[in-house]
Amino acid sequence: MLAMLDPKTVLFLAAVLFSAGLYGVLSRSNLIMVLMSLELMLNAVNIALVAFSRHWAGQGNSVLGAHSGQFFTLMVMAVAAAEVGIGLAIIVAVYRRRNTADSEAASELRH
Amino acid sequence: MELQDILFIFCALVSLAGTVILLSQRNAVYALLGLLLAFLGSAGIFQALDAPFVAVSQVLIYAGALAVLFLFVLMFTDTRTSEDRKGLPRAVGSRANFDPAEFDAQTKKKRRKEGELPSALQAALDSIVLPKPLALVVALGFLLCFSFAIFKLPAQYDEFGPLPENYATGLYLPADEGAAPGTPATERVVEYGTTEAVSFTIFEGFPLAFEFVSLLIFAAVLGAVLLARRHLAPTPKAPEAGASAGHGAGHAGH
Amino acid sequence: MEKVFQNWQLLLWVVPLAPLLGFVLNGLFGKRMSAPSSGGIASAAVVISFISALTLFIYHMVNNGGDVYAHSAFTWMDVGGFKINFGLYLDRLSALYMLIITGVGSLIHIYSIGYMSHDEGYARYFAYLNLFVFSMLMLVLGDSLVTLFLGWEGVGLCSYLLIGFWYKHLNNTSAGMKAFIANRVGDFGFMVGMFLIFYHFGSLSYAGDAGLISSMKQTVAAGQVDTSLLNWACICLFIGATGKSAQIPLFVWLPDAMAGPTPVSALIHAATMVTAGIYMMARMNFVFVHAELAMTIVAVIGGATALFAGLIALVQRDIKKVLAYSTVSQLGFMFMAAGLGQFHLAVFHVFTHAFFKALLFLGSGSVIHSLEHTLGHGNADSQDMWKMGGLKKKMPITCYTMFIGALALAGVPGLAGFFSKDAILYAAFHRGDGLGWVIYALGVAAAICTAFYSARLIGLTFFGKWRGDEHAYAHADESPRSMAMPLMILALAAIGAGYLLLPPAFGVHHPPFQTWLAPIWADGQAALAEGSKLRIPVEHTAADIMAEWVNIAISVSIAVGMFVFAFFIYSRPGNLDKVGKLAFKPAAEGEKPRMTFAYRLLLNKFYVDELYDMLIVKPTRIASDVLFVIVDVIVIDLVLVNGSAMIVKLSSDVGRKMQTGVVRHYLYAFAVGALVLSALFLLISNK
Repeated sequence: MLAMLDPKTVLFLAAVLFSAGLYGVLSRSNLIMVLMSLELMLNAVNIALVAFSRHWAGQGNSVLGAHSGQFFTLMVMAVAAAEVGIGLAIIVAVYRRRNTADSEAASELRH
Repeated sequence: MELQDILFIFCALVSLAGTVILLSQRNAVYALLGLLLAFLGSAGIFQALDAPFVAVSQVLIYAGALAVLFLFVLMFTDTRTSEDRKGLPRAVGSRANFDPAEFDAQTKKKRRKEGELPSALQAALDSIVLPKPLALVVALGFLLCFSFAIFKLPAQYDEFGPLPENYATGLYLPADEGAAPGTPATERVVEYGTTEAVSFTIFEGFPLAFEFVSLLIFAAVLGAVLLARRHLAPTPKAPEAGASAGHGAGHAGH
Repeated sequence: MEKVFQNWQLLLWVVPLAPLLGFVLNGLFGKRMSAPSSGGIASAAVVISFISALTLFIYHMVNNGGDVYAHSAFTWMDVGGFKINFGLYLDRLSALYMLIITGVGSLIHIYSIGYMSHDEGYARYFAYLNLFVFSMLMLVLGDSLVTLFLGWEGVGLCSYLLIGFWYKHLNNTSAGMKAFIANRVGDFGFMVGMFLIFYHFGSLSYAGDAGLISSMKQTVAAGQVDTSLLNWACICLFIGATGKSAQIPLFVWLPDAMAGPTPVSALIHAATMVTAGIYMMARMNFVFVHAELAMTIVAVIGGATALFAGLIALVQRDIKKVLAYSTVSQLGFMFMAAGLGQFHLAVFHVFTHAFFKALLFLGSGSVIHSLEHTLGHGNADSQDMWKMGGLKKKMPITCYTMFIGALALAGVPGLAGFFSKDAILYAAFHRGDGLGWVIYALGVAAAICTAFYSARLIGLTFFGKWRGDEHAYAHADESPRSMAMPLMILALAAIGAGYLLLPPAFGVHHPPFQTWLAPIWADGQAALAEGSKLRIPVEHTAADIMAEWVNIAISVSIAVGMFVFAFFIYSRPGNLDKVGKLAFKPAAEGEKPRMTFAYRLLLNKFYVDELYDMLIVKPTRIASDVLFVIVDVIVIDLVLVNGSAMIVKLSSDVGRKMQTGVVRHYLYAFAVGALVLSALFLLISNK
């Protein structure tokens, strides 16, 4: 039986999740939904990073080399947390002003 | 098929299902639950990939903290947006000046015109977002690129290699107290993916990046507080401010 | 500390840096200081500089035998094969100049405390004056032509600033600009000269293994002197000197420069800055001696300038204008000497001239200062000699010191001017060829003018009857002590300075001044051919001495005769009418008297300004008007500026439509762009 847990499959799953997230980012007009989809994209990247980490561990790398993928996953999580904090704060600020979280509401920066 | 394979397939399916919910649900709280599913599924995938620490972090940070934060803000805000406005007259307000009360009134009017309450099927259809073709094309284009790239990967990516039993760290444990003098100190070894191994990587390999990320989060916290706090400056005590209060709370800071 | 004492010659740096410090202090904090402290700081800075200079002179130059002392502070620029150090160079010539600058400079600073006491721009004045002293010292003490040029430009700048010091009057500022522009023309020549020198020698430093002096020696030893190139280089350098030292054709700025405060005229436009050209020639004498054509041009221009300016000075009514033209004339004498190869005489005339001309300027400043009290500042009457007379009773110190100065200027025996000017005339007389006689004739004619106008100045100002406003006369008074004291010191110097270089006819074959400076010319003299006319005579035959006596007799009779004659005319009130008859044609009753041709020509300064205006200024103005319309209005404004703005506007009108302000549209653009790029990357990397 074909083993499912191989690098290409995991990476493909990550690609699917990433594309799905991108679709969400592009299609939703509620800023909160956009932010959620963005999180999904970052999560997909995390999956890819962990898969690479596992891959390089299987190729006989040193402890730092084998774990750097996981380390960067943690970094991405931290950055994502910061991003969500800021992003949601901005959404709250926009909402106070516009009474809506519609991304098209904040379109003063046009021609 | 091994246990890890099964775990992976299950979690992948959970993730995908969560993703579908996230993308399709009009109701933001349902969408958030879908995202939560996707996060939990990813945590399972991390576990299947022998990364327990990252898996636990995923649950804690994403599924715990971030999802709650999202939920919090969802409760704060009105999630009705212009994409829900289809079929409503333009008079409901320009996009920049959305009035929820007017929106609801118009929606009711529209429903009344249709004559009856919607059927169950109609309600279900109403609750999901229709796909957007252009976004779909772009997203599928990305997926195509990725698939092509993955397909072109060399043979070494066909399967995961075996994990080594443990890794040498170059750090030594102090000798036991009762040990005879001259006993060689034992080297500390770590297993792949454990908390020990990851923390060794952080503090031996990338301490500077770690510190910078802590600075970044600190700055983000400050920024978030600054952006989201109410404007506390005293409102000018002019009575006409009350007259024009319809413009919303955002004016208070001026 | 010990090391500092070992290298006590580093005191040399104090000489230029003290005035610089004074400039900084006055420039930054002058507005907050009281007038006396501002002037005090400035004067103290120059006095400190003078004391350091004197210490160096006595201990280094006299006691230690006067070796060259050079100290390089840092590398100024190092580009390709061109390397210039920023350093100081002290030899006998620069030591002498250093003493003149700081000495006369100190006196003039002290004098200025009194003279400028009522001016609101007090601190600014002293800041500029200190900056000038610094620049002049850098000019003189610099160890390369580049450092010299730094000072050269610096003094030009200060001159400009101080001429236009009372900037509220348009005339003053335009006089400043005139000076600056005339100097720029000269500076261009100077720079070309520097380039040629660098091209020939590959260096611009004086000393050192690769320096100018040693490479000149090597060139001479190898017989590879490129005379035509050196001629061009020297002519270009001399063009620079004509600008700075006010020679034909660039002298026009100096008379106008009298718009500045009188002490400035004394320091910058008489004693120091205008002699920079002489310094440069003396410094580069080892190059100039190889450029015979250039030397001839220098001598002829010098002689012509001396006579030309002397003639104009005869008829000027403004006391400062007389002195200004006199300065131009005396500078002509210096260039005459330099052009004849007698650099030591040129430098000696600089030396004596610094004293008596500074004295005359400061004296005239004293007169103006006392008249301005009543007449009001900037009133032209306070400088008009026809509106003066009889001031001897009111201002005895000024009168007698100025009398001494005028006698020295005229060349009356026993005073400084006699010895220096007579030696120059003798050098031309002694030369014995056609050029010598031409120069001699020009010099004698200029000397006649000199004696005449100096006596006229004294006679009109201090003797005879007061011809101006009675009120002003009643209030005219001797100037304060801070102004009188420098006058007296300078008068003493104007008497005594000449005795440093007595002529061989007096039995002095090796006068101290000549011996002192001999090492400066040694290299140049050694390279000269035997019997060259440019050689500085060392031995004097009996015939030479006889000739010198003849020359002395001629010049003494000219000086004394003309001085007494002119003094007699101008000091007696009745005689002025007779002079008037010379100047004006007899006119019928009720008609305006018309000037005679000669008088009109002289009074209008030979119409040189008008000539320049017609030949240079007007065409330039017309050309710039045309260029303004074509280049500025049409090409730049219409096509380039507005045209490019139009293009930007049109294209942005299209482009800004893309800026919808909707975040999702930007996201689409970003995503599609990333997609296209990654697809391209994949296609390329999979080949």
